[in-house]
Amino acid sequence: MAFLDNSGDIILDAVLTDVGRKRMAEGNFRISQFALGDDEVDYGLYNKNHPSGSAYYDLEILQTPVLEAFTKTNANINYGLVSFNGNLNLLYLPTAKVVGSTSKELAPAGNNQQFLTSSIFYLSANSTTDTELTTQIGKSYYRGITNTNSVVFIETGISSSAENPPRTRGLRNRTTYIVGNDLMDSNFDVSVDTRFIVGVQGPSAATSNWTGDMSSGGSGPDFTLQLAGTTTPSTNRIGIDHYKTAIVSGIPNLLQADEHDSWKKLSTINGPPAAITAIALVPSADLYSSAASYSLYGKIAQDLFGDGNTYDYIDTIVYVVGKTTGVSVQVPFRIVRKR
Amino acid sequence: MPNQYQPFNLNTDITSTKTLLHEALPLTGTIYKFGTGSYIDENIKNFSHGQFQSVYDYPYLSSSANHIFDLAVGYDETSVLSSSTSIQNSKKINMYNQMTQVLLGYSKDTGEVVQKFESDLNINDDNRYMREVFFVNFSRLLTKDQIKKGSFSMKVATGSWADATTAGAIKTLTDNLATDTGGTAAVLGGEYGLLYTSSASDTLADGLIFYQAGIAVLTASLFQNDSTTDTLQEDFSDQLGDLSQNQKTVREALTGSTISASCNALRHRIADISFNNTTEINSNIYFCRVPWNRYNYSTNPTYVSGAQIQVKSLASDTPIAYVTTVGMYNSAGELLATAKLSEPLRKDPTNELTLRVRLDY
Repeated sequence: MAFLDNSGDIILDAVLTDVGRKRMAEGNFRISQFALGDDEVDYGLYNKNHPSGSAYYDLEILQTPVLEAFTKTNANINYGLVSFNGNLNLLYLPTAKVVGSTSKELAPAGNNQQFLTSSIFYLSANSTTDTELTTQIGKSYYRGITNTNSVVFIETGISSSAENPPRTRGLRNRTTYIVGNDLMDSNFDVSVDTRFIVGVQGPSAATSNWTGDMSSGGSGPDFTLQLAGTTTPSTNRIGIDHYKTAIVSGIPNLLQADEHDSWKKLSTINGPPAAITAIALVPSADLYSSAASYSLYGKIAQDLFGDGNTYDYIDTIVYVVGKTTGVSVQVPFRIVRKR
Repeated sequence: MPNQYQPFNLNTDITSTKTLLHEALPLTGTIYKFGTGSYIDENIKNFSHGQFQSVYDYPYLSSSANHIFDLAVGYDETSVLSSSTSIQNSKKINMYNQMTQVLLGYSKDTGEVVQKFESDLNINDDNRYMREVFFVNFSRLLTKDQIKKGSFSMKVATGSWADATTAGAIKTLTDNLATDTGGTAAVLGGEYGLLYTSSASDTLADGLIFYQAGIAVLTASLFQNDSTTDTLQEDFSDQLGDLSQNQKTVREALTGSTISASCNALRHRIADISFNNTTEINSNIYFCRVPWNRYNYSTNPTYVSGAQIQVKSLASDTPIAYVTTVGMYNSAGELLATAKLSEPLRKDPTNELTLRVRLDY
């Protein structure tokens, strides 16, 4: 992948992707829409304080070298340009955050919240492994065959270091910055490697809610999370080989601020909240008892916890993307099997 | 993975074009050992079946070698050279029949008899037969879709074998009467034109060039001393070489040598070849129209810093994004083609973009 010559006129270097060639071979090649991407651009290079004036603000960005077009997975646009109903006055955009720290315990009764173990979420492949993981890392740190109510929470909202704009009691800023600008993700694409993950569960929007007022005299947190049925990932929306995408719902996050900052124990977003979702994954049956896939794609016979027991494991990334705003986050999972 | 797509208007945003590209191809005689060098050269591949000879631009056992053309010899079964005593007689007849069958088809009178090559543009008048011919079959790698009409030129040494390259003994065959609008005839094998020597003033052509098939057919009469007749009844003073015996007339070569040996002799007499090939490119051009109020924001993780858009200080500031990639999708959201700009292109509400993406087939 060389860089394109950017010394003269702007040129377009176009290629068919592997999927495009396949569709052409099938007689099913029909382009009907386009999208724009900017994956090479680092907007941190935009210098609003350039001493030579505004004409120079984006000088470095415009000099960004661009790679040639290629045909495989990375031909895809990973992020992409967007518009929000013609609204040109947005100053803040939501971000997505994975809730993995034990300092943020969100799970309502009836659910287990899954926490990170060494920066990764564990997914047990069989009940024997469940038993061992319960001993080694505790029930809140994995999801397994006997521990199916464990979920990983993902929040979206405006989260800034200076808490500007702040979360408010009454959620006025949520109304202004999120709802008023249509920045609420009601659905998320969850893309998984289908060699390892065959099912995805998310919240049932109709029977879940996420509200709360922690202020003095307030009603306290009122969280209900009910998982919808398991969805089998189908269309590949991310363009990575072996990946397919399932859609899960997002629940409006209506947790208000309070004078004691108690709400901060229940949210990773320090400004106006947008949505919260929860995902639970179902591993492939191929991973239950056979070491074959682990040998091919992961590692086998590893002493993960220094207790003398050995495990096989495969590390995989799950991609979660908000369907309205395009906000995205990558969630690392480790599928583990006790030998 | 983008989550916002802009649909094409099938009536106004997509158009198809056809473009003809031409490349000039000079083939110098040094590639295939014109005049000098061993007949058994690494660039030359002979086959055990002995029906033709392949010429490469590099030792053919190398993966870097490109096949450039084949040589073959043939004569019609009604030729005076056709005899059971002729070496590879049936193979030479078969070669002639195969080529004329594919390029010209069968006789209008007797369906089981193939047409014969003629040195004019009318194969139905049954005259000016070329019964004894050499074939030069160019690789599709060179000719692509077809040879450009009027561009073909071949220099052939026709002097005696000992001094084939004497000034005046090199004839230049060209198809200079052929154009896109005339000077050719259409037959089963595509269009063909006539090859004349630059010195020729008569109406007899010395060969044919089939443009789409990429095949040149040279009459053996080209090497005869007396060009007043189109048969090989005359005795020839000029000679062609052979692996074991250089002193052969063209008649002796065609009857008393193998096809491979005759191809060797011909190969040493072809000085230069040049022509323009033609590649027909069909293109779909997609006009990706980006209105002023679309694609002014980005989901690039660096677009925000602390939730604030980096290119704005105030909400009222103009949003800006920079385009580097155009993804072309089907209705299912599958990426079928991708195009990269050579440098980032600024997109803000003060401009509209039309990005022209051309896909060639």
